[in-house]
Amino acid sequence: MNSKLIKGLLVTLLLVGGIGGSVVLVQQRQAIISRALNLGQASPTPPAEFKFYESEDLNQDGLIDDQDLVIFREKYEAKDPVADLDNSGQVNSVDYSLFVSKMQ
Amino acid sequence: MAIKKAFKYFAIGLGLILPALAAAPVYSQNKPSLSLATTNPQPHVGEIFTVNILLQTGSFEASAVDAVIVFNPQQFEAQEIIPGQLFANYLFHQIDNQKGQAVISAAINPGEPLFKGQGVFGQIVFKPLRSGGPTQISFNFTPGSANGSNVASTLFLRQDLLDRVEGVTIAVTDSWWRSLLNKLLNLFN
Repeated sequence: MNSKLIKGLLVTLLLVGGIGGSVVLVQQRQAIISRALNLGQASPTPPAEFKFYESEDLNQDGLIDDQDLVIFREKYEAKDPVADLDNSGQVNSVDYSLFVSKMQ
Repeated sequence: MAIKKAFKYFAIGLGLILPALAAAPVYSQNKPSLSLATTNPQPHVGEIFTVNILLQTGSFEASAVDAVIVFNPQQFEAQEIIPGQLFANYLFHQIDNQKGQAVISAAINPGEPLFKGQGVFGQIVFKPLRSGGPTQISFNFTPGSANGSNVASTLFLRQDLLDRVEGVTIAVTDSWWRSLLNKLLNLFN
């Protein structure tokens, strides 16, 4: 009789312990997830967005137009390496032709 | 059977001809040139003379041109660059009398037709500093190089189409009063 009682108590303890342990584990897991989510939300700077502009798009607005032409002419007159579109080491008519061919 | 054979020969012929036709335009056509000319090849010392820069595009169409003219700075002084009428944009011009170099660059406006033909690209006004010569006023030009003079086209990007250049020979003589003085001195000697 006593042994049956002891067995019953042990089984009950195991069940309670098992359920309790599972609840604690679930709570810990949720805490970790929520912390991770909070960290993500609290990130001070959003991930950098890289944009690639054509070398003729001198004001980097996504268009190669009259505004770029004005800048290009200034750079061309100053023989600025920015106007060396073919990377030849010289700012010359070949670069101008490249620029004109890209204008929209 | 005969049709099949004819088609086979036609295909082989086409395969040989098409690549040749594709390569032909650049190499068989008359390529652009720059030259110098003057109406006064024997100026006196101090007598201003003008050199015309002549552009000939041949069978090509030009969108932009650089003319780099070199001269002996001991003998000549470049005084002025006068743009021509061939291009809407005269982008750049510079005189360097220490180096003996004059540069003039011009181009079409975007969207406008390219220039094809010949004409006066620009003019340079020189003053002879001392007698001597004959001496050359010529172009700085290296074929196929971005250095020096170039002719470029939007139809042939990243290429210098300029094929040949021709300078001008100048013999500077003493001024008329100096010549007269020398003659008189020779008479008395």
